[in-house]
Amino acid sequence: MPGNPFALPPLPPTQLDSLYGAHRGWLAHWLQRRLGNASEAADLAQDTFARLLAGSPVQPQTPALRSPKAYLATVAKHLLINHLRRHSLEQAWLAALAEVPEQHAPSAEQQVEILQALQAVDAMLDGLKPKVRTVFIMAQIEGYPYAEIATLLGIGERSVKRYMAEALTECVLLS
Amino acid sequence: MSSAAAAPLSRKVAREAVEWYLLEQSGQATPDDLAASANWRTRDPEHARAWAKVQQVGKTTGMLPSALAAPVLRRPQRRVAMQALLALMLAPGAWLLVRSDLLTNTLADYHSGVGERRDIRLPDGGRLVLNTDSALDIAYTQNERLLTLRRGELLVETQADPRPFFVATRHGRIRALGTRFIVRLDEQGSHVTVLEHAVEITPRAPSATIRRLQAGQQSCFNDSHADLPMPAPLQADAWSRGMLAANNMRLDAFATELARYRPGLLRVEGSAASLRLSGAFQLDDTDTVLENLTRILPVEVLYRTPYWVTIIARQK
Repeated sequence: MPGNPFALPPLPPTQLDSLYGAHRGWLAHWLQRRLGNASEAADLAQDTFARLLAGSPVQPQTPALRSPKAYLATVAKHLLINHLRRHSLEQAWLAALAEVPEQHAPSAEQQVEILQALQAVDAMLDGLKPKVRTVFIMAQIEGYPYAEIATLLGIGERSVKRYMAEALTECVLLS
Repeated sequence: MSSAAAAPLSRKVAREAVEWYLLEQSGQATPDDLAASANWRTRDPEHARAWAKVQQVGKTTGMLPSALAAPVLRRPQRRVAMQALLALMLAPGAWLLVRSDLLTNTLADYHSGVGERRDIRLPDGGRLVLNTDSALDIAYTQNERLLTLRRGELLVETQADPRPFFVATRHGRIRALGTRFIVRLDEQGSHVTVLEHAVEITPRAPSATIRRLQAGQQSCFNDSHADLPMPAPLQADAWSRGMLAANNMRLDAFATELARYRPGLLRVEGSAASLRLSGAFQLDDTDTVLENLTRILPVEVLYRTPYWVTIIARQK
């Protein structure tokens, strides 16, 4: 898109340097108060600046330099929420793994692969309406036929198909 | 990530890729369907890209063992959200520390899904309704109040405030002059309809003329030009009450409008397109609207799939 005035330009390196120098300590502190963990906070602060450097699309599309702290806080908030989401996923993963009989447990390499795929899918499903999310999981992960999902959830089969398409579309847009 | 450089796919193309994918996966695709699907993929590099992505998503989810993946993905979402909220609200002292920055903060990004409508309370007490499939940023600073419409449509009722109030789109800015108005963004441009008082449209190009619109007028503008004001249709804000108002509207135009509120494709074929209808229709249940069409017009509604619907003239 030529000349979109609202798209966020990646910051010029010199400005990023001064932003980093001036606010790194403040940001790490800000994050630490929310995470209660200094090393995780330092990592996330680092990630925040890495995002700015990459000009990644996750960030808010506001002129960065008019109000750098607010801007950093907004990017950091996104990352903080992602971090908590990943954390809760890992907890649930360990719990699920503990339930699987030992002879059926995946190998260490498989576990890494599955966990990564789970994180990707979880991030894609984030933000879907609960019903849409449930339908997607039942159909795509658990392999229920649409008719059965419709009965179990008390909705029409047509809705099941529509929710399924909605969820997949979000996944495609986010992948 | 290699995809970072590429522009995001359009929602429409993504949706179409998904429709074809689900049709193929259903096991009910005819040889004709498969040929049509293959043809769609080769027609446009964007189609091919969307198709590759939907395949990839299918593959990623397909490799997950259900016994492990389902409980993880089904973990209570509310608890995740609550944790995040608590972390963000933590420590009133820390909150105050950043307060002065928050005044000039981008408050949030707002989105609405297809068929969804959202009421949003603005920080100054003003009210905003976000129509189906829309996206919006809100940025209030010390000097101005700025809404940026990225996609879709909004209706805004401004509140008196010393700071000027703007709605920006990719085509330019609309300045509110104590007012209630609608902005809609589509392929043609940015459409503005004024319901109360007045607005001023400033297209992006510096040479463009500023255009003033009064209550009951509408105009469409792109980045270099704003059309002359035209009388706005009655009930232009019907959607904000969940209604689609048609006044002697052609069926193809009606279907285009209705399609905004439901996922998937909705087409009118042949002679049915020029039929006309009037009335008020409930946007929250578009399936019922389609069903009712067959009662008020000599048409049939064919469901190829729930999200692939064709309206045709009824066979005698």
